[in-house]
Amino acid sequence: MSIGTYALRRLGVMVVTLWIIVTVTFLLLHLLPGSPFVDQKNLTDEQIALLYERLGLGEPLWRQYLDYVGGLLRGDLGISFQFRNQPVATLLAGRIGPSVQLGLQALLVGIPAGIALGSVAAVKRRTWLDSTTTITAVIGRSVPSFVVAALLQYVVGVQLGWLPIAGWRGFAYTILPTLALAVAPMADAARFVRTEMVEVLASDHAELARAKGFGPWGVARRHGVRNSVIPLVTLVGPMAVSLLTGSLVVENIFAVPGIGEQFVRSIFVNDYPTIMAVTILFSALLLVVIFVVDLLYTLIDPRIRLGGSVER
Amino acid sequence: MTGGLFWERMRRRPAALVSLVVLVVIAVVSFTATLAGLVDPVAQDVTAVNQAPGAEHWFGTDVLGRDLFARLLMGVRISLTIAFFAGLLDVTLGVAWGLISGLARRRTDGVMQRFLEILGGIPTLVVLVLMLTVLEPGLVTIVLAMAVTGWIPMARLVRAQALRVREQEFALAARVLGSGRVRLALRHVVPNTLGLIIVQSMFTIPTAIFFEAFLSFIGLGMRPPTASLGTLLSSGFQTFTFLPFQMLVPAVTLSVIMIAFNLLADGLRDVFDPRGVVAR
Repeated sequence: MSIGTYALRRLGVMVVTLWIIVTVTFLLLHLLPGSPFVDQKNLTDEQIALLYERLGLGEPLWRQYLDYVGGLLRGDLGISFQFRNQPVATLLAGRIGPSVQLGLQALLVGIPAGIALGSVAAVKRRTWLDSTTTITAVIGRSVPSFVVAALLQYVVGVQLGWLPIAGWRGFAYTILPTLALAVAPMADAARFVRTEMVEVLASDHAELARAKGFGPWGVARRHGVRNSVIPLVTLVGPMAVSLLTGSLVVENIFAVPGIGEQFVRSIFVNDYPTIMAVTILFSALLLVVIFVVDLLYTLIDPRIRLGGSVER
Repeated sequence: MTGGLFWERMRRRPAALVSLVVLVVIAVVSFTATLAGLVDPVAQDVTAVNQAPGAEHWFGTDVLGRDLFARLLMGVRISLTIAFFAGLLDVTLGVAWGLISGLARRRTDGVMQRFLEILGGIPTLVVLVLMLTVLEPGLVTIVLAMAVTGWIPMARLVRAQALRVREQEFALAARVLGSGRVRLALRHVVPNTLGLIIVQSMFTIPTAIFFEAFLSFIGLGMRPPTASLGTLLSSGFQTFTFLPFQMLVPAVTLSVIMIAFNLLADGLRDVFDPRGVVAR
């Protein structure tokens, strides 16, 4: 399979997946019993009729579905029921910034830290440095990010008072949430790089480099890092997934005005248009990330078998 | 692999062995204590609310005066139950799908693979949030919601293994001698995949525990008065700044269980799967 065919096929699957997500989300949330208005008792019948009219809730289901999908294609995500009747797209657009910033900062801190830890562990294999790193990595991927977040908030924010406890008014406010989110990517990268590098350092070309007189760190730098960091690209997909999941609770804990915090609030007040929009946004984002990562990886490493299935 | 060889290899992995013991102890204590009624996790005592850990209440009491040790045991029991059933569903669905797909005709396999590809593209987070928004949150709904996407890695693993085994000589010989697909699956593929299945399911259990805690934390988990590790964490977080023990107790317990499961899974992988076929 050529790379073009492969990309097209994957793109097709992606579109179908997204369409299924949109449809299922739409159906699930529209088949729910109950009314979208919290204070329905305070509304007259006329007002309710007017609201239904304005939100298009009186139309038949298929009509609403077509309207919604049509709107989606034009970037219209509907109108929020709960948050001052803003268009959902506007509501979310104002919140993407902090989420993206935190996500990128977490990757920028977590991945290099993980590479460093993994390299040290591989070079100093079977020493206390290696065991310490391995233990750190196991703890890092076992302890959920919201536990880390709450602990950081309590120790660094409340007890020590070094950094702000919560809010979003400058760089200092981003440090603790970034650290909380960076733990998981760091642990994953460290573990991955260690395994890869142990293999590279045992290979013939690393042996040759040692024979030529390079010390253990020289070999690791010239051969190990490059060879073990490239496959790290495959971890970016899973990392994006865990960052998104983590961002919901971490943003909530630190009161960051991001998408995750909005999502959790929308869940609490049953704001279906916003829930739907974020669901679709998250799915689209992850699908695109994984698609790009897979393509990138096949470009970087031509040994990857296209199609990803076992030959028969 | 024989039992003797298994224990011999396990003995060389003290971290995994210790984790196994820790998990068994935690499970036995939490199940017997709460099911035999040795502790009462729902009794409220308005004269003793928010008490610090002490002799009478080992881990203190919560805002309603309920004993936190008893609630913790109940929480561990509920979380482990959810994880167990989520794991069980993943294994059942995944193994069945993988076996059928791997041993079926090429066209059937192709259709089943496309289905997996599309379902696998849907983020677990999205499925969980949607299902628990629509359905009444509870043990059964949480388990079902997790199973929607949870079984996919298992299905992929078993299918790959089935494809590998069916081309091997002993499997070819069995087919020549007239074994049908079902017999091939049960006699040859499953025994040769058992280790990998166990390792993979050990990785799904901590994931399930994590997602339960996560869902409770964002308000989509178990409903009170039932306690799970997630609900304990989330209510402990409300009072975290002035009564830190109410969150620390479930946080440490959750972390210990997660670490133990991960270490056990790592150890089992080294024992059963030295070449590292199971991907995380």
